[in-house]
This record gives sequence, structure tokens and C-alpha cells, in this order.
Amino acid sequence: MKFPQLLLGGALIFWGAETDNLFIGLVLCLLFEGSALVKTRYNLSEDDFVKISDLTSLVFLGSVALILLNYEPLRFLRITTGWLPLILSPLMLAQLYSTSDEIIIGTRLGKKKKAYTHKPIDFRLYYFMICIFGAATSNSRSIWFFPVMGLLAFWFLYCNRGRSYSPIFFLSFLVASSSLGYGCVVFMELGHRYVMHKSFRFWHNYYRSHEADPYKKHVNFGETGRMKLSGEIVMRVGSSTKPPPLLKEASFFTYYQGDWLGNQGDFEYIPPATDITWNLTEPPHREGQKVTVELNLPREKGLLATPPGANHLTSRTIYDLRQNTGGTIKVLDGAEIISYDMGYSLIAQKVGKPGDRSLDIPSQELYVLERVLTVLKAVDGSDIAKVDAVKSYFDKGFSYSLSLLGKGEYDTALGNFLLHKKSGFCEYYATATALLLRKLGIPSRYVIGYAVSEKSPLEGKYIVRKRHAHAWAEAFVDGHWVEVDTTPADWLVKDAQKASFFEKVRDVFSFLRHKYKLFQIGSGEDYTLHFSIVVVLLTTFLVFRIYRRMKVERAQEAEEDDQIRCFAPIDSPFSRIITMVEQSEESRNENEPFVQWAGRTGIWKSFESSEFEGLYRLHLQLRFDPEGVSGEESLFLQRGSQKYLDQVTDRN
Amino acid sequence: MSRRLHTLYTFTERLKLRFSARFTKLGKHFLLICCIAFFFGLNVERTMIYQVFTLFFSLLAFSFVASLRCTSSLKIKRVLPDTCVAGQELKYTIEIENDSGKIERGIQYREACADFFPDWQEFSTSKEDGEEKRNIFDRKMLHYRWLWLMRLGRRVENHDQELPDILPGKKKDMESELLPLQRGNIHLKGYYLTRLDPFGLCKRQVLYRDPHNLLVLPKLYPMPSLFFDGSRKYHQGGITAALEHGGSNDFLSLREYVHGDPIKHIDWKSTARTGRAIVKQYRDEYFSRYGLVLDSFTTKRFSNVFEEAVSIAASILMSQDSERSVLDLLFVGNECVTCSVGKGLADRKQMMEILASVTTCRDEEFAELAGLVKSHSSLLSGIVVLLIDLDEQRQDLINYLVGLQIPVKAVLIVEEIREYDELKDKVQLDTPLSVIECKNVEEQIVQI
Repeated sequence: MKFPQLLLGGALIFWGAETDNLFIGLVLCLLFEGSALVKTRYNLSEDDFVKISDLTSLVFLGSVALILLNYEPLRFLRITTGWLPLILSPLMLAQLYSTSDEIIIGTRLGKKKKAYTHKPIDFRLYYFMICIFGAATSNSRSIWFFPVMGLLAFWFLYCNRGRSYSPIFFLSFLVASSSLGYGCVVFMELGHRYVMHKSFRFWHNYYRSHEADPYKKHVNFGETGRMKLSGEIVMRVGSSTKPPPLLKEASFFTYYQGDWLGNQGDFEYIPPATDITWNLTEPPHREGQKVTVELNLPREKGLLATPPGANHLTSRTIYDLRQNTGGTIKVLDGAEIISYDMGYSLIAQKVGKPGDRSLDIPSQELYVLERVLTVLKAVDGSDIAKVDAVKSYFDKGFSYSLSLLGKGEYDTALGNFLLHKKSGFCEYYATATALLLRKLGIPSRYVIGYAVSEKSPLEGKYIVRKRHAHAWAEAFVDGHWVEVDTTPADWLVKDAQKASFFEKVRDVFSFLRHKYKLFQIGSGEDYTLHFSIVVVLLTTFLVFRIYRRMKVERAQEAEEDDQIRCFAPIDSPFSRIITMVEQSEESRNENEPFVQWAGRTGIWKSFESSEFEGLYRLHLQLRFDPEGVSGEESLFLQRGSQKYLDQVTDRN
Repeated sequence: MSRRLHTLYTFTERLKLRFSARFTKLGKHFLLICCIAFFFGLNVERTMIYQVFTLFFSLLAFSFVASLRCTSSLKIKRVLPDTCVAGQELKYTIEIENDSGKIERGIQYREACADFFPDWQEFSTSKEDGEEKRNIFDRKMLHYRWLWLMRLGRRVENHDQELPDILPGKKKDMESELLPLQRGNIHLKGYYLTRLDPFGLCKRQVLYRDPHNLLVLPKLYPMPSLFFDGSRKYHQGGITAALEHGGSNDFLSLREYVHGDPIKHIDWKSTARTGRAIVKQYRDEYFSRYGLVLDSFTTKRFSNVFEEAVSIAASILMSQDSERSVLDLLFVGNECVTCSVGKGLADRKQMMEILASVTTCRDEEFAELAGLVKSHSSLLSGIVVLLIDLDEQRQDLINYLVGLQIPVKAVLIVEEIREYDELKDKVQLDTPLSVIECKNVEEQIVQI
């Protein structure tokens, strides 16, 4: 594989122009192509090459650290690829300025020498392609990108083309393939637009048909139950007093065939009161308590967990908030871990009566509710008495279990739960409670959220795990929404019994990771510059250490040897005959004497071996004997050679 | 698991061969670039890598289509020898003739060797040296074992050589090269003629069948003829084996009696004068007979030490003057083998052919060889024992031969000298042992 001169320089200038690093590209180009002009070469052993690889690896790692510190993680790959020609330039320089044509790439980074050796490679083609990819990742959208890249590729191919075809054939092929290539470019651009358009329409229609909100719009039996199996920490709650036992995430009004459907499509933007404060209810707010929550938001958006009676929120890590009429608060833009202080008052503000949906009961469940009502007491009392009656109904004969109930002999799963099994998890209790309250004429809703009960001695805060996910009902009593949690109180203990043996160990790692992420997303201080300087200094120090260990020797310049071996040219009349034999169609066989070869070529009609051999010997004597040839011999050589040369001239 | 792996590796290897027959080295690089560019360039709005993909894809597509029509009308005649030596480049002539009406240029030539893939039996039973030191993943996947077996199975190293431009109707000779890597038989299926496409990315490779078997002889080292001190030098062997012919019982000299000399040749007068047994030595119809014992008992399928032992045996064989002596080669391969080379017996070439094909013996005990040598020992004037290991059985054989007063040269070939240091305390030999390391055998062989 031939690599044409100046191609690497051309690729570097192309890379520099595309990435707006033309100066760096030019400097590298001069360094690389200058190797053809500079005669100094270095003797690099395999060990030296590995050390240079180590050096490059360090520079690479340092660069990665700098890019991660200074840019968004999503752009990391693009930016790193864009800088690769500069990062990997030491390897290329090592190959170009060493006496070897190939380079050994293999990093040890301080480890002992491995038993096996790396295969040497010619790095130029790889580096050339790295330049092309680096230029492409900059996404300059320049119309010159394709033609210039094509030119570089064709330059390379021309030097490696199959010799069976003429250059004209090659050029016509080139035009045809570049036309096809450009056609493919247009096709890919159009195809991409078409696919994007179609997929956008598809998802748009999908979300519209599923009532708009993709995050949380309905809940069904078993969803909370599945979370019960995980001990992963989802939030940390801190409070000067005892925090509220339940933190609400979302509420749902419509129950249909085992699903609770929410009115989540009407989220409205909450304008911030200050840069970091939002009012969740109309001020002034009642004096109350404050709770601090640190919540994981891996996708940087999600629902906020709020205490009952929440009225205002302060956070540096939330940037965009939305709220719906049900009081559900959604973060549309935030950090990976959000930290917020939420003020709440146990004496909640009065709100307007909810709509008729809060009293809707699906017809399939009516038979169950009617049969339950027959055993309920205080059906005709006040709303509070009715709520208490519902609570006390679940106190007796009901138990907590994580098993998912089917319909059994009944028409619905709720019927099986209330009339037969009387055992289930929070979703069954919350659903049954909400529907029973509705049957008693009290507006109610189904609420999901988390229970706050476990205090971590390690963190000094309450930790909320996935298994603390909970569902309960809320009843609208005297202008307030009141929590009605009828799930047997031992649910937390029973869930905790299923915890993994290694949960505590995982908690430690979770805590460390949480602290690191909190530090990473900013505690108000920006350490990027400090870290960048540390990375640069550390990398330079390590690079210097490796460089010091290298014992690079300058190779003896070949020019000196040439001078020693250089002889004054000897003008032998036989030289032309030798050239004629060498240019003949017959190639010389192994160990074949020159005279025999000359005879086999058929250049001379009258060829006398002994005479020819005598002339050849005189020619060699003239070339190599320090005493040369005598005048007579010289004349004989002159005449004899001329005789053979004349034969060829006469024939022509 | 291993059988599946074997199937997978065989399939991959075949795929690689097919791939190499269609794409040049540059073409393979372009294909890789194409795949990477396709993967990272799917989103045409984020980067311009998709343009890299389209360009390289179109180049490859054109190359591939163009390579389908490449043919050649050259006629090739190879002048190949029957034998060559392992590790020495074989140069031979090929005669090229252009039958077509157009000039042929840029055609590449390469010898076609039989493809080798380790079979399941070999893959599952052979164990690479130092395999136990590899990590658990490598030990389970056995990829390095596969690579090792593939390396062992590779008999020759050859590459594409570009043929000279040949005018229509013309003939030309060209020198071609081939490097045999291991001794044994090499089957050459024929030769490939390859033509590249205009971009040099794809190629059309056509196999022209012209089978030829090449016997690769063991590597040879220069060494002097063997000489055994105090040996019973001459045996009566009849006209065919004798060095010189002349009047019967021509007296040559007197010498001291050595075990095995006929009693009738004792010169009693001289014996009486000197007080020691002296025999008359005669000139005609006598020859020396030496034994060369090759230890082939190892548990490994391929042993570098054994290969060196074979090379040393071949070197000894070649250094001996077959006109003056008879050399018996004794070894156990698939069965016990004794071959004699010398005047009127098999010639050295035949013996070299035997040595080219000798394999390690993994099923039998060393006692087999010991029995063979013991039964043969009464015929020998001296014996060279080439050992590849040292244990009690080998020690017993050497000591037995020394006990018979047959001059013995014991040679142990080891991978590294420290292996001998570990073994030397375990055995007690009655004769000096020459130890040869696999590295620089040429320099050490003189000590034999």
C-alpha cells in the first residue's frame, strides 16, 4: 500500500479548515511534511514506541477529562473525535521521524513489559482517516466538504490503482463513483428528513391519542407493587422537625377497568417569584414547616414529591416548573439531582369543590360497593364520620400482601379484593377507599407518592426507597383534600422484610455517588477552571516523566555513508551493452552468469560467448581493479564493445 | 461449548479467506471505514460523517462491480523442485506466456497451498504452551489455541508477486519465491492469478489447478563428522559395505583390543610382549557403523525442542561420509523404525525424506525405543542419542550403552538451559551430557 507524499498535509489542512483550527492544521502539516526535507531520523526501539503510545494515551485521557469538564457530556464524543488529529499527532511524528517505516502502538502505562509483542503498523492511513472523521464531526455544512474529501481519497487511490487499467479508465470510474456518492448524499439527506417527519407525526399522534402527557397519565394495578421489590434510594428528605409521612406525586380522578386516568394534560407554567423561588399557591402563605428534598431525576425531568399543603418552593437546580389543577407539579428542566426546599402548612388553604369526575364510579364496580355499604356504619352521618367509617371498615379483617389479585370468581379484581381475599397492597386499598367514599357521596381521588419513614444514620436524613412508593386516597371534606390512607399500617415493615442482605452496602455506594453528583451539578461554586488546570499540570508532569525515561538516539545520517562509498564514475564502453541486456524482455534467472543471460536475450545475431566474456571481464577489471586496464586492453574493450553496439544499430 | 467454538472459528476463518480473495488490504480498510461511518453517520444533521460513508461506499461499490469482470489469459508454467529446506527461501522460475492479443499488465501471482483448519479432535486435545497462564476468558474461549493451531498448520509463507508486463504472444521468465515454514510434505494446489480493479480496492482471484507436492526437509546446521574415541572402528561387512577393496586380509596395523573384536585377530606375540591384548587390524572389507537415536517421546503435539532434535539428526546425517561408514537411525514414530544409510544401503536423500516426515510419539512409552536400541546395540561402533527430555528410563538406556562399552554421545536439547538445571539432580549419567539450547543451536552444535 503506497501512501502519497503531501497527502497527510492536505488532510490536516482540510481538518483545520473544517474545524476552524487552520493554524494548528498548518503547523501539524509543516511538521509532518517537513519530515521529507529534514534528514534527521531517530532510532526508536519497540520500548520507545510503547512509551510514545503511553504519552499519547495520557494526552488523550487528559483531553477527555478537559472536554468532560468543559462541555456537555452529550457532545463529548464529537468534540473528542474533532481533536483526535492533534491528540494523536505524537504517534504520527514518531513514525515520520524514526528510522522505521512502521510504528508499534501498545500502551502499558507503567506496567511491566508484556510477554507478547504488538504488531507494527503503518499509521499513516489510520491518521489520514482520523483527520477526515475529525473534519466531518465539526459539522461545518460546507459545500466543499464532499469535493475536497473526494479529491484526497482519489489522490490516495490513484497511487494504489490497479495497473491493468489506463489512467483514463480510472478517471472515468472516478467521475462515475463520485456522482454516485453525491447522489447518495442527497438521498440520505432527503431520507433522513422523511424519516424524522414521519416519526414526529407518529409520536405526536400517539401522545395525542393517549391524553397528551407522556410521563404520568394513568396508573394501573401492580405498577406501585412492582416498585416494592427495589431498595434503590430515589430521594432524601431533610427537615428540622419530623417530616410529613407521605409525599404526594400525582393524583388521579377517573377509574376505568383497573386503570386510574389522570387529568395530566392541563399543566400550566408556574412563573418564578424570584430566580430560585416559585409560589405554588397564591401568597400570602401561612407560616408552616419546611422540608428539604433531594430527588434523583435521571432524565432531568419528572414529577416533584410534595408534602400536603405545599405552598412555595426554593431551588437552584430546577429551571422550569409546571403545575396542573390536581396539584401535581412537574419539572420540565432541572439538574440530574434536584434539591429543593418546600414550605408547607398543615392547615391547608381552602380550595374550590372538585368537578363531577371526583364522584364518578364505574358501573362494573357498583355491585361490590353496594355490598360493602351494607356492612358500613354511619352511612348517614357527616363527611368526617363517613371517612372514619371507611377507615374503620378496613381496620378489621384486612391484611397487607404484595400478591397481585386476579378477578377470581368475581367480575372485577376489586370485587375479589373486597369481598373475598381482603388482602392486597396499597393500590387496592386506595382504589377501594376512593370508590367507597364516592359511593358515600364524598368527592375523592386516587393519589400516588412515597412514604417517608426510614432515617439513615449514615446520611442523617430520611431516605425514600423505591419500595416506599405508596398509593392512598384523598377525600374532599370541608373545602380541603384530606388524606385517607387505609392500607394496614404494617406495610412498611412487611416490605422491609423483603429487603436485600446487601442493601446497607449499596446504600453506602449510593450515598457516595449522590454526594459526588451533588458536587458535580454545583454547589454554587464553579471548579471547572481549577480542575482544568490540575488536569493540564498532571498530564504535563506525567508526560515529562515518560519523556525523561526515553533514550532517543539520533540515527547516523545516511549521507556520511554515501560519501564514503561514493566512487568517481568510470566510463566503460561496455556499460551500454549491459543496459541493453537489462532492458531486454528476458529476465535474469537465479545465479545465471551475465554472459549466458546476454546470449539468451537474442539481441546479437553473431554472439561469441568467449569473446563477449573477455570483454565483460575487461569491463569488470576497469570498474573494480585498482590498477585499471592497460592501454592495449582498453583499446580492445573499446573496439569489442563497439562491434556489438554496431550490430544493434545495423539491425535497427 | 468447545465444539460450537470450533464451528464458529472454522466458519470465521473460511469467511476471512473468502473475504481476502475478494478485497485487497486497502479494500478491507475502506470497508471498515464504511461501517464506522455508517454507524456514526446515521444522523445526517449532527455530523457530516454520512458524506464519508457515501463516498467510500460508492467507491467500494464501483470497485466490486468492476472486479467481477477481471480475467487473465496468461499461461504459467512453474519449474518447481521436489524438495526444499524448512526456513530457507525457495526460489524457482515461472515461465509466463501471453496468449491473448493485448498486453497483460498488473497481474499478480501467488502459489495456492491447501487450506488448513484444525479439526475438532485436534482443537479439543491440543494445548498451547502456557495456556494455563492465560486469563479465564481466553481459557474458555480458546481463541489463542485456535490461532496457535492455525500458525502450526501454516506450512508456507507466500505473497502476491506482480508479474512483468507481457506483450501479446510473448513469453517471459520470472523468479518466484516461497518460504517453507515447517518440514514435511506441502501440497500446492496450483496458483492464483489476481487482477485488481481500477481503484485497487477489490480483486478477482482465479485458481489455476496445477498440483505439485513439495517435500520440505528439516533445517540443517553445519557440523563436522562424528568421531568416537576408542571405538571398535572397523567391522567386517562384505564388499557392498566396505570402504576399500583389495587383497584379502591386508595387514594395516596393530592396535589395542576393544570389546567385540574377534579373538582370532589377536596378535599373541605382541600381546605377550606388551602384556595387553593387541589385535591385528586389516585393511579391506571393513566399515564403521554408528547409531543415531532420536527421542520422539513427548506429550505435546508440536514441540520446538523435537523440531530442533530432528534438525540436529539431519545435520549429523548429512555430515557423515556415507562412503566410509554406515549410520543407523533409530526412532519411534507410529511404529519402531530403523533405517541405515551408507554405501549400498539407502542414500542420504531417502533418509532426509524419512526425517522430514517424522512425528512425535504421544501414545507409546520410551521403553519402546530403549528396547529397539538395546536389540541393535551389538552392531554399533558408536552411538549418538538425541534426547528431548531426561528421566529414569532415558538414564537407564544411556548407562546400559555405556556399560556395553559402546562410545556414547548423549545430547539433550532443551528450550532453555534452566530446564536442564532442574533435571540434572534427578538423574545420574555415566557419560558426559551435551546440553543444547533451542536458541543459537548453530553455535552449540560443535560440542557434539
